[in-house]
Amino acid sequence: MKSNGTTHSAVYDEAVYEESYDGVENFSDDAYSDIQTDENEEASATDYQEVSNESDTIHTEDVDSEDSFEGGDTSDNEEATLEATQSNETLEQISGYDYSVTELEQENDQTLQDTKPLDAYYASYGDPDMVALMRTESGQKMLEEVVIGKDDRKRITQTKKYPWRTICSLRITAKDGTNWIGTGFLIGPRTVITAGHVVYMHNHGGWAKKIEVIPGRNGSSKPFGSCTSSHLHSVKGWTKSKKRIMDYGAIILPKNCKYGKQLGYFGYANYSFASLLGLKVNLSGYPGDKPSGTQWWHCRKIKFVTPRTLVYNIDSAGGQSGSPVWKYKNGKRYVVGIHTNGSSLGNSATRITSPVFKNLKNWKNKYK
Amino acid sequence: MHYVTLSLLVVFFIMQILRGTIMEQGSHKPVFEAIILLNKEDSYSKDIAQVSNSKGHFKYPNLPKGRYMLVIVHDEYRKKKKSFFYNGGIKEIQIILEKK
Repeated sequence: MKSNGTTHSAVYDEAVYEESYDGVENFSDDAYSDIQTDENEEASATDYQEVSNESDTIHTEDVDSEDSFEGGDTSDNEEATLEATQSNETLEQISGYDYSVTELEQENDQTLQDTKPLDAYYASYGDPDMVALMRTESGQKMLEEVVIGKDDRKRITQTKKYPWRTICSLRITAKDGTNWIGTGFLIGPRTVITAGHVVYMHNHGGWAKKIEVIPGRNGSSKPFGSCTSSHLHSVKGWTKSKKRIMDYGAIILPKNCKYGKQLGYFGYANYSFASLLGLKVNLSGYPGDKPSGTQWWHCRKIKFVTPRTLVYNIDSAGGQSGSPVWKYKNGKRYVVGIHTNGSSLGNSATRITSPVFKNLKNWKNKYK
Repeated sequence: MHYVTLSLLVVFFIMQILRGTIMEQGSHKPVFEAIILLNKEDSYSKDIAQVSNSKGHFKYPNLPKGRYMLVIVHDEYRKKKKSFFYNGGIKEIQIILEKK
């Protein structure tokens, strides 16, 4: 890694440095410079201590959650809820899916105390979270693993139903004019959560010029139309410091486009390491390797949990950045991660930790 | 004059960009709205995909060096995969897609 001569604070103070973009140009000359992370950046225990300039920061794990809202009053809602409550599992019940495959995965014995030699391959990531993970015995095992399996993703055709309709296909126009596809999900009337690299693209001019949000898209069909926004949020840990572990953001829909009120939205939760490791989770989004604009679901256990990321073998492809990774529980859906990266060694998400939870809540409550 | 030449040389050597053009087999007309999936083979990749413009063009500036797998997807054409090593500088790629 190169150094720009700036030493970043060891504290991840993202709650303090929340950033927003309302579509109006307002930045200094160096705002779009290619920011390099400090080459000495390493994670220590105190690096992960949550801090805030507000006294009411949420620290307690396993209790922070918000009720999801199914929205509207259609019979589709009732049907979807009934269908889901027939299972005590944390997964959506998808007709024809062989859930036994989720049991075949090796049980984890991940501990963060293990200190096997750091693999140079992962060291090149420059990601303190992943470096920490690779120091563990489980991380070393992961390197030896080759993830090969049949593609058992399921297409969601009933995208007018909750929760599928709250998952949005995104068409992004970057500042440099290039076009991209991604995924987002509603957490409030006007708030769509996605990956940080969807709203702020370091190599393509910074903040996206505009993003078209298409909830419940089903191929060429846009059952609820679409809205375009250039009002974006992220955190400095992503826009300035380019940290993969801070890769999340939000799209704020225009005032006349309150999709969340009509369609409902996801809840989200901040769970402990123990609650997340081995948890069976859902992921659904708009992968680019499938027919254009179609939504696909998949599920697996979370195989590794780091202080800021989740790693799993849920299949994904380009276009699924920003997809929700969620747990189903008693008729409610709680997002625990925001999908960001793909790799043959395990796909990963930004974990909903206390400060992430707090920012999501702020972005939700601020725009109603 | 020397300053301008030197500056251009510096820009040339610093510039790191992968550019591509996607065309239809036979007609060589540009393929609009093809999905470009670019994954670094020895690392993880952001799960975002680029879409070709009306000229069939796409670009990845500041691409890190390394081996990549490029997959091009379009509903009307057969999927195309291409593995290549990007060694820095300016690299141009042409992709020809075959109609389904």
